[in-house]
Amino acid sequence: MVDTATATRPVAIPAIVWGRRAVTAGAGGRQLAGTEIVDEAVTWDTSCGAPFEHPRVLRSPLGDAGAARARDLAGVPLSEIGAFLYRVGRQWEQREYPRRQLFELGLQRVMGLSPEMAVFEANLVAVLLRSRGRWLEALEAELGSWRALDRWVESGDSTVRAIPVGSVLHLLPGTVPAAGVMSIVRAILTKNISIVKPAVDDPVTATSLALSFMDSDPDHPVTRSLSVLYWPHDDPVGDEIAAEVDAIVAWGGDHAIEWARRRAGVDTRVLAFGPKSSIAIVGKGADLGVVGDRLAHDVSMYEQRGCFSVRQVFLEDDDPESLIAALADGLRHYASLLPPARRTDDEAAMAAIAGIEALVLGERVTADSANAWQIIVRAPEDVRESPFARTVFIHPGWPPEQVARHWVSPRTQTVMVEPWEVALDVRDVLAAAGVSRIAEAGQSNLPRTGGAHDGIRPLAALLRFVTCDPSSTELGKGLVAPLNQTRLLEEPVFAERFTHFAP
Amino acid sequence: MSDPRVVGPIMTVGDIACAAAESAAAPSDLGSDRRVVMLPDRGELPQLVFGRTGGWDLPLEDQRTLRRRLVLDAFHRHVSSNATYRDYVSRVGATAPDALAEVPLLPTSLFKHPRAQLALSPSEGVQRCVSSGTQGSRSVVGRDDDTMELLVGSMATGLGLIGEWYEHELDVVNLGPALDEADDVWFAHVLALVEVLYPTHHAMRAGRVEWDDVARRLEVSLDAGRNVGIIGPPFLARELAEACGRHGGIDGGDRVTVVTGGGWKGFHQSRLARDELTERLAKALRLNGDAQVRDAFNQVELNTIVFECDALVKHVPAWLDVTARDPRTLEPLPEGEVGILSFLDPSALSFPCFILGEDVGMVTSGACSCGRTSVYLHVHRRIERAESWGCAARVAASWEAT
Repeated sequence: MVDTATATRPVAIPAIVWGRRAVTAGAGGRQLAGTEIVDEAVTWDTSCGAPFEHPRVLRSPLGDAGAARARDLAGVPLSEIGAFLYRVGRQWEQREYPRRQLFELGLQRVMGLSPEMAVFEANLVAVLLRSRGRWLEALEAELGSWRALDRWVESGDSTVRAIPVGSVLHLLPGTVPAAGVMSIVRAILTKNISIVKPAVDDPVTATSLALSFMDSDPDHPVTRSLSVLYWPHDDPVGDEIAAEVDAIVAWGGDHAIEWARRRAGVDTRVLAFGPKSSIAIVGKGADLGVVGDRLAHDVSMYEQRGCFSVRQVFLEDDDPESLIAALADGLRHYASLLPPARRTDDEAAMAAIAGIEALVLGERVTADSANAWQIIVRAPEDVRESPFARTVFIHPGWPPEQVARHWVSPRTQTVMVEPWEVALDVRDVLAAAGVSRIAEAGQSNLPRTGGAHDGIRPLAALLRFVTCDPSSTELGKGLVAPLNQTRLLEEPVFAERFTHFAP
Repeated sequence: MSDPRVVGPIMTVGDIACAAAESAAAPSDLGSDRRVVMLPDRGELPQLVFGRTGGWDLPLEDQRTLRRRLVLDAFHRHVSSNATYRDYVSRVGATAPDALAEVPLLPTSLFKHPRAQLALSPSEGVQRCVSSGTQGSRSVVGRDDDTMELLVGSMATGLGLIGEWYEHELDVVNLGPALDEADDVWFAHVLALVEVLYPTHHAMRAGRVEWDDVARRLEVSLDAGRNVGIIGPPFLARELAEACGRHGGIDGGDRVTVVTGGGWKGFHQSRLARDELTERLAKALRLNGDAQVRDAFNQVELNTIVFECDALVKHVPAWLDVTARDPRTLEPLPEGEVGILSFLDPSALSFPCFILGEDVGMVTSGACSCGRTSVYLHVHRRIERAESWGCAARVAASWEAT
């Protein structure tokens, strides 16, 4: 029977304004001085689990308070920011850390994740926070030198400084909690203050992160750089905030991206992550002893709702039987490693309907007796949408290069490949077709350091690079005399020589 | 002017349809430019469909017995004539169902599938009926003449729930386009079919509605002492209310009835609650009561239109089986429990209308305050589809949901 109304008690999610719990005027006069950002709590429904209560947002928290927070954070050395995140990350590593425990419970209650997946996600938050070395490496890859965030650094003949764009509005996804953490950490590492709007399906992650910062040091500039506020998409306060910030990081579908682009100011940067989907290619010579688990991982992680989730597997071999057997084993294995998230009735119905469709069309269907997963052999042109719920469409008889030519577009985020050597053979064709990332099967959720994200260098995109040229007396590359342009214009002979000396 | 009730036979909606069914040629009293309702065979099903009662005069148990017989007959007919359905039925081992719950269902999504071959081909004299495509790709359903006529019959029977008027007493304003402009888009097509039954003005021309003209027409009809039936999708009904409001309101009293159908389509984001729409229409048209705003249910894959009576209850005709199913197991649920709605409709002759839709609702039954006894259909909402792919999907859905 369809659950028409959830009788579950709402989960209270506080509003965070610049590292402080925002309290309404009605709550015993404990209103934050000068903010008046929020009003009484309102209950919001989620798709998968319990509803949540969150104060209504009255106005943008930016203004003077935001400017002060931005100045404070810009003055903090990157090493101190890294050390702060590391300290918080060490707390998240502890299974008994109460904030982590509440986070895990929240993911289960509100998002419907299994306890195992919630634990995995909490571990991932810890890793993201304490990976100082990896973040520095990522900054180095994108900026040339991470030191540009703290001081002027040489860059060819010039010196450059990386200046934060200022304030960032994050429109977070409701599918992959760790993506929200990554989005926020990127802004912190580039010394930008953040206003975070969680998705209605995941009000837990960003708030938990902000609260853990407050646990660690309530007055740290990083803590004070973060506001986490939820508002419905058509609320005018969203327009107000979007018009004020310097960058918008929008995760999601066309609607979210369009919303961001329409409301962004002329000078506002919009970083769009989505909407994209991912596929897997299994070429000849794949080791079926490992491919089943690897593909099952990429299918099971986040219940196929992530941009990097695998929903379709293109198989070079004409005969899918061996792969079906291996993948079925893998999916059974993952049903115990990462039990499926709670499915809405609608999701369950769509998965059941997909199974019947396949039966009518005479397609090969292999399904779990407990409806944890299903594998359907279907021509790729007949796949119109994914019902999720660990439903994998297998397309036999597709050589990798043909897959790249026909089934990859700029809307393809990641192509998972097995065996790995195939990636090296087809990556040029995949790149030309528009793919964002190529990875080995089983690695979908862990992109390596230094890579781009949906075609963007996300850290560099949150910075403004300022150049300071050297003095004209300083001889740059190729110059053998000080640069005097007036003399060049006055005496053509020098101009001729100049073309020789400074080509 | 003489009273037609004296000079001619009384023609209710059902009468017109039945008379037309009996006539092999275009009857003159329907006008030469009207469509003619003809059925080659007055078997049990056409008699029931074109009857005035919808079978609601029968006890519920008799309705069930009748329904079971008609559906199982239809099942065997489609198994013998439709290879796709026959293969599917053998695949699932349900070649001889004893109960309606055992009839294998076809997800409506299959009608979007180019390979599914669920209907007769166009060369076999079927009309291509296409859904509006609000949720992406379009369903294509092939209807032959007999199937189309049975659909009109269900409309005639259903309209009997709204009221019964002589043809000269009722003007219909269809807020959608005429048949020639509706092309093969189902929702517009169904609305336009009402012209078979009543003098109808189609308000939409080349995709536009001249709302001032509609308001004037309403006034002219009412001034002439006629009743007015307005049919259209809810988003156009909302615009009608706004237009009539701008016009200073219309004195509809008890002589205007609005029937909505077809859903909000691309206007889902700005949809109004049923009560809100009724309130706006009642105010703009100065209606005597909320029961003058009714709703009807149909979809391109279903061959029966289900209307509301004046108690605002959707009466399921006796030939149609509606069942709510458990969304996880798709097993039938008892009456009163909410699930995914499935339909077994024997009035579709050119395709197996044994469908598992994407609407959530429930079924009840009993004696209605309107005096009819029947199964009632309650449609709550559409299934929220996983739709677009990726993080995108989920965020887009929640984006729209907030």
